[in-house]
Amino acid sequence: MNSDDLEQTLLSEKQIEASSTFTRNVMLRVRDESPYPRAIPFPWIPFAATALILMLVTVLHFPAASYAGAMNAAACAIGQWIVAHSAIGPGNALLSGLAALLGTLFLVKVSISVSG
Amino acid sequence: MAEEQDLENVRRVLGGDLAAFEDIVRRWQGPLINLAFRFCRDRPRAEEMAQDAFVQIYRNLEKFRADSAFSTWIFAVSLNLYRSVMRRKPPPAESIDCVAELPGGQMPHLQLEQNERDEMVRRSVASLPARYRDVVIVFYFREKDLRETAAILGLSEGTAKARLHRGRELLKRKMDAGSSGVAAVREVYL
Repeated sequence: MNSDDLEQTLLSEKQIEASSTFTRNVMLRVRDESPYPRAIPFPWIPFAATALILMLVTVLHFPAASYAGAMNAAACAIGQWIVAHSAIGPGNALLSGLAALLGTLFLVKVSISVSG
Repeated sequence: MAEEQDLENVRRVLGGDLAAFEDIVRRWQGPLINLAFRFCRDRPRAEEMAQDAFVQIYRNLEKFRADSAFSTWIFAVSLNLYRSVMRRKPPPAESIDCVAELPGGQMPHLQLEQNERDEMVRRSVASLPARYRDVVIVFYFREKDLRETAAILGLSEGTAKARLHRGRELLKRKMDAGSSGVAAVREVYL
C-alpha cells in the first residue's frame, strides 16, 4: 500500500448520521445538570382561546355594546360639525373645550348606563 | 457567521437559556459522533461517547474563552474525553487474523475488496499508540489542517507534524505487514 492510497483512505471516511433520539437524549442529560430552573413558558394557546371565548360571549350576550359604539361615532360626527362651523378665537376655543368636556362626560354617563 | 452564531448560543446558555444548547447540539452532533467513531469504530459506542462529550461541554462552557474558535474548543474537550474512554476500554487490536476471519468463510483474496481494505486501514489507525493515533485521526478528520490539529491537541505545529509523520510510517508498516500476511495466507490456500 503506497502513501497516496493511505491518504485517500483516511480522507474518504464515510460520514455517519446521529440517531433520531440523539439530541433529545443529550438534552435530557443536560437538563439534569442544569443549575437553572426550567423556564415556564407563557400559555399562549389557553390565553388566545380564553380571549376568543370572552369576545364571543360579549358580542352574543351584550348587544348593547355595539349600540355604545354607534353612539360614540355619532358624538364624533357632531363634534366635527361643531369644530367645522366655529370661528377661530380665544372665546370660541374656550367654549369648544368646555363643550368637548361636557360631551365626554355625557358619553361616559351613556356608556355606564348602557353597560349597566 | 456560523462562528458568531455559536458565540451567541454560548452567551444565551450562560444566561440560562437551555434551548440555545440544543442549537449547539444539533449543529455539532454530526462532527462529534464521527470523531468518536474514528476512535472506537462502533456506532452505538460513538453516540454514547458523543453524548458524554456534550455533557462535558455543557459543564465546562463557562471556561470557554473566545481566544480560539468554538469548533477548536469543543473538539479539544471531546478529544480529551474520547482519549480517556479509549484508555479505559481500547478497541480490539488489529492483526492479520482479522483478514483471515472475513465474513462468509471464503478465501481472503476473494473477499478482500476495496471497502474491507479501507476499513482495515481505519481500524489500524484506531489501534496505533495514542500519541500517534490522536494526531492522525484529528488531522484527517479536520481535512489535513495541521494548524487546527495542533490547536485541538494542544501541541506545537512542529510536534504535531513530527507525530503525524511517525504515525503514518507506523501505519504504512502495519499495512505492509498485513499485505505480506495476506500473501502468505493466499499461498497456504492456493
